[in-house]
Amino acid sequence: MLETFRLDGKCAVVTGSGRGLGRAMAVALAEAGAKVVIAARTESQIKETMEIIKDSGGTAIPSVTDVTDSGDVNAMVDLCVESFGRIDIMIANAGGGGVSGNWDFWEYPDEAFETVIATNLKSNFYCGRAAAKYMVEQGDGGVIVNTSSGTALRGNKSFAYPTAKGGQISLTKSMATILGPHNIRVNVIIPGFVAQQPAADERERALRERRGQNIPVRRIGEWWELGPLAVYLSSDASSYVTGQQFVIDGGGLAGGIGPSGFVPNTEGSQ
Amino acid sequence: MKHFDLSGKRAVVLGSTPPATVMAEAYEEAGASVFKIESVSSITGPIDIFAVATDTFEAKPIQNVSDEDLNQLLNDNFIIPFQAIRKASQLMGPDSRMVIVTHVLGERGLPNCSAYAASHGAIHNLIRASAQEFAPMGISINGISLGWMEWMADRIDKTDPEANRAIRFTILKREGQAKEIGPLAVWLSGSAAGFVTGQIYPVDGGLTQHL
Repeated sequence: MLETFRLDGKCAVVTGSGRGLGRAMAVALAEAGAKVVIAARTESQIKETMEIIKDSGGTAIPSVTDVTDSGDVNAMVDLCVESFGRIDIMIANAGGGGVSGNWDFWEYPDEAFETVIATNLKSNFYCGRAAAKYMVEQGDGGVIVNTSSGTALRGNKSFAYPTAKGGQISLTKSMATILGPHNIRVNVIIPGFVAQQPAADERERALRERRGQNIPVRRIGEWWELGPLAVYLSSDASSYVTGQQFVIDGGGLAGGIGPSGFVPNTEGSQ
Repeated sequence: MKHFDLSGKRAVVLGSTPPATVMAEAYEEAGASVFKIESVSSITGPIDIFAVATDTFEAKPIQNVSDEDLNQLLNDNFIIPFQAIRKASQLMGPDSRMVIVTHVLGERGLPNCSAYAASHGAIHNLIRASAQEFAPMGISINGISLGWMEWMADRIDKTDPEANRAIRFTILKREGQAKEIGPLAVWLSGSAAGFVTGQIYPVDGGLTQHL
């Protein structure tokens, strides 16, 4: 059973893997045996991730990529196939712009909305399309994993971001339906409050601790916790799982009304 | 792959279904000491990992569901897991895990499955609600909801010329195999799932994710 988690011989692309959750997923995939294309906008961050992977004996190549540009995305996937011979795994993780300006909703400019949609939603379509084209041609299946956000399932004042993130979930389910007959599985990870890296100082640590008090497990998540989930979804360990959303949020969304801290009064019931 | 290593953990698996067998084997392979039991009274602590996989299925039009049928389904699919979870939670400490096997019919309706779907729906919300109570105790609880699996052939009327339509309706066009549950149970029971609780993860070949 444990061997089903292995990714030996598999070739993967992880976008947004210069830091944070993307880096954690790329490092975990490499540890499980995959060769990984480290894709991000910032070259220095790509190098840092590559060093971590190479230091532990893994294989990684860099791709400076802007995922809002479909030409860039196609070139990134071409690079994977040219360098490694094929593509088995696409982790479309790059995104951002969770805090989208101080405009009133009725003053919100076109460009700001379009930027958030391009970064978080169009990018998933570009990555999925480019990867699926090769995977269908290869004829032996594949895996696509998108990274959304807990805000996708709740409203939020920075509305463009949850809108794009919600779109990712529908895109995931539709892609799973379309690509299922080719044995290409498509799933989406939905992180709640997860720290991107170790706290820089005491102030940040205290802020995280306060924020964690609103979450059922009484802490925010940590970047490395995404790695094993990415390995599970990328490997034969999840061979009958497709079109699903994998929430990792310390129990916040399970409450339906959480994380509000509301608990019905138990007085008199003891 | 240290996060899939369960060495030193004491795992208790309740049930006599194929998922119970597969999960016990998977935990054992991952290094846990596994105790497979068939009744709530056999639960003993301390427990690091607690899995429940009981299930009874019956398909009848709602008008034909007798009180006995209803009691049987609710008992096997909801009351026994509830009692098991209640007892096990008193024997579990910080950083421990519960995994409950359920069915996607807990989220969806299907003709002739009223009592069955309702019993699993009850489990789904039991998972969500108890997750809130268990979190401060350091116990996580999550569900694995199954679609049409290989051992569920009895649920499809063989005299029906469209008997395989349930399978055709899955995105992957096949029934699930018991062994496909083990790795998810191991992830949910391991050190990487400490920030995961109150969730229900389908292993259903995409059954519930399209029209």
